[in-house]
Amino acid sequence: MIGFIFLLTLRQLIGRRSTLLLAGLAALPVLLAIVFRLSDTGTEAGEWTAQVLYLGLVVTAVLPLTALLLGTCVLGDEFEDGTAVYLLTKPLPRWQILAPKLAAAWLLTASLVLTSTVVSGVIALKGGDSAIITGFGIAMVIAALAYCTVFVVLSVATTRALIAGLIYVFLWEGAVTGIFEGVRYLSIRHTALGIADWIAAVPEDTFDAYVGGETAAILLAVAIIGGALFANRKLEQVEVRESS
Amino acid sequence: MAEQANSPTGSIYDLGYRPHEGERLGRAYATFALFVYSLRGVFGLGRSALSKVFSMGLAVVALVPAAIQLGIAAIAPLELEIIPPEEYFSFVQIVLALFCAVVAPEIIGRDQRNRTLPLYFSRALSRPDYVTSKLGALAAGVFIVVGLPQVILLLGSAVATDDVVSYLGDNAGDLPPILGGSLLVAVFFATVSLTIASQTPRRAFATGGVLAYFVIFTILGSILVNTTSGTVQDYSVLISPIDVLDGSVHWLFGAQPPSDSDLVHSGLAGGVYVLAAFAYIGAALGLLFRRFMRLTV
Repeated sequence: MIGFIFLLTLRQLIGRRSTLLLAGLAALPVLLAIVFRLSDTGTEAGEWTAQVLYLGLVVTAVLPLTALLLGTCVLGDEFEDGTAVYLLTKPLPRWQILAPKLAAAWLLTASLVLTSTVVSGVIALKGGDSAIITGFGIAMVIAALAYCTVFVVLSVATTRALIAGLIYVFLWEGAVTGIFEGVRYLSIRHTALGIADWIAAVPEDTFDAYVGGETAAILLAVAIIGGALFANRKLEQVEVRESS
Repeated sequence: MAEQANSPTGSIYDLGYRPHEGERLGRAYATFALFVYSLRGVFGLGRSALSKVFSMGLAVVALVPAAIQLGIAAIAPLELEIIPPEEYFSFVQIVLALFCAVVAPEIIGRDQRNRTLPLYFSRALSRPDYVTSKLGALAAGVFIVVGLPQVILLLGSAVATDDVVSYLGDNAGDLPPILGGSLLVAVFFATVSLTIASQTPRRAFATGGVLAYFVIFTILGSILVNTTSGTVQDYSVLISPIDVLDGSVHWLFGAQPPSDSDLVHSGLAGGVYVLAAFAYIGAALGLLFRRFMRLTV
């Protein structure tokens, strides 16, 4: 049954027009990498890839937007369309509904963002210095899970998950962490950057993260496990009633 | 009545229907009424508490930079200007984008989702009237959100100084660019967001689309300016909606953009940004009206 829900969710996600737009979003870094290679600005390729391409575009916009649109819709759309009843009345523990839904959102987010990261990185770096690509690639996959978990939590806990998620990503992670640096520990973006920096182990001139690697790993694990448990609890509390 | 009821072929009853004898207020009034109703909807007035939380919350967040500046001005004895008037827009740009992403789908999408659009279009109100009302409502809403903090900041700074009259005399020249810049920003955000949001009746897609447009194209413009060179570098900044508006606002104030901004990297003259802003508004208006003229309800 888990496998069935997983495949069903993947099919729902892939069949939508908006997923095509997300693929277009993932293609943007690749286009920019091509522009970078064609133009000659004298910027060091490693620095440009880490700070402009990855930090400026992929981590800031492509990853959170993809995770947000997919993470809030896997369960959120079922609630909005009223089809959640058919899932929730199946004789299954609620975590067996949650797990495949989350896994499907994660798989699609991670594959879109990872492809984008690796292809654009290889083009921008001419295949050299793969440490940056590996570091950011792994960080993206972990961060994708963290984002998807948080957004699934939002979609179970509120009816305006997308707006709440947008405010978290662009107001909290985008603006507040820039002014009060200490709250970067409470941001998936900055902990993910910590992981990337930790694995890539590049010189500080090329890239330097605010959050340390070990701390970031612990924080992300707490976010993922805590989020999943909370989402499960929330989903267990949902009562199937007569639909309005 | 009785003799009619006895006739074998059926009967017609006088149910007391009367024609409307009051004043007919016409199209213009209907347009205005829809504008007022939609403007209330922008801030969630007359709606559920949940729809007030996000729109009013973001409007309050747009006041925060003004509140901080005034707080400092009240305590610090010297004149300390952290937020010059021409920079206010760049402090609240993301708040405005979020505000439009939240509000635009409510304004333009609700009637499509609830299938009330045919009711509007079967009355005196024409399709362009409908779009004009909705557009005016969102533009007025954004104008309040971006303009009010700047006016409060100007008046508050005056009150915080020793000599209110001379401060106002020195800084009264800021008022026209504050209002003009806010108006341009408001019309730009309103037309572009409504054009994107009107493409889909689903709220989630509309919200995501509006925010994705502002965020992605601003980042793209910024990266291209810093990556390319020559003519491409100069004009790629025009991809970014935020930079176009930022450049226009600086031009209206007659101020130089800060040295680290994308505007400096591209050496375009300020007037070009205003022209670009008008071009964006024109294109968005065209697409929006076209969409509603063709929409089958």
